[in-house]
Amino acid sequence: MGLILGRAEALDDSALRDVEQFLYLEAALLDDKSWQDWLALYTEDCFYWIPSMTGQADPINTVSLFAENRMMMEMRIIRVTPSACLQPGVSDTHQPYRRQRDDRSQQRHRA
Amino acid sequence: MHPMVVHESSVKAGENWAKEHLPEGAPDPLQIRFTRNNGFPYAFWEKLTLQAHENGHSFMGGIFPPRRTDPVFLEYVVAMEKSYGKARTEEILSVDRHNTIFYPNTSIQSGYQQIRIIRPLAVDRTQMDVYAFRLRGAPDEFYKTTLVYSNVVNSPGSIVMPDDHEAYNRVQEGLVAQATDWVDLTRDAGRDHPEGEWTTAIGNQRAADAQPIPQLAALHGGGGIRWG
Repeated sequence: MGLILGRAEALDDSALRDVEQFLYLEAALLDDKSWQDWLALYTEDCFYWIPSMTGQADPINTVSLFAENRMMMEMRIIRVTPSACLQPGVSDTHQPYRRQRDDRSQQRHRA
Repeated sequence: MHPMVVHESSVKAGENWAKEHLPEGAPDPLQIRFTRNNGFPYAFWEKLTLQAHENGHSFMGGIFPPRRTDPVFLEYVVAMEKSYGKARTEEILSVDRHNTIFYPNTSIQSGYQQIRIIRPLAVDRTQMDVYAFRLRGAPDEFYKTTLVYSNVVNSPGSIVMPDDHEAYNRVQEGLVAQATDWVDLTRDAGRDHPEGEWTTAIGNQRAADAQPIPQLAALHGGGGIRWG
């Protein structure tokens, strides 16, 4: 399954900077909803893994928050495009919804 | 009756991906099988049986029929037959249920080996823990199916469960409204069939004119897991 699992190794400053810049770039692409550019950061055989707990050894013996191959990443992109959604703008970011809910709740408190 | 509406976006995501990448008639990868299932029409859900015990325990009919025919499942059947014999294995496997509720707060998803515990924390806060189980003696690959199901459907980062959470949140907001004193849950009451300790209900629409579901054919022998 081509998974690369391992502990972070000590990096020299320049490599660390590359990693840091990569993460900034990825975050910026996601914020801009540049989904295809985001996907292009990954190889065909990529595996996107967010463990569900600290120290989780692998994604195949324990449930993960994300444990996704490229197919699932592509499905996520399709899912947030208007053609797949009943309600436009839904779930492409949690922030506006959270804000909307807070606004509504504040209105209630004021009322 | 919520799936095709609440989960529309993940249903379409799977459908569109398959349309674009798979030859026609190819079996769905497991992940898409899980998402596509929610898109079945009302006529499908209408045929599901709900059975409730008089003290609140209940279960609903399976939503992933017919029985899997992929190699991993067949290996599991062989292991079962070794332990229980053919007849008893058939008896066990013929029980097809989706969610089983042990009143008041335990839910078993037996098809994919999950136990879910629902804990009320406050009047507007609920915690649901999902535990995934390995079956003793079953092939390792069998547990992967459980994990894929949990990752694709139940994870808070999944493309399915957050839509349920959104629905729960909106129901919660609705309950704050003061317009009526009661929440009406009677929906077509009177169509239940009490029989001994159990009460059975099939579907919950007035016109129970369920038709054969062509999509079921597509489920037969779904594809394996695509890990990468």
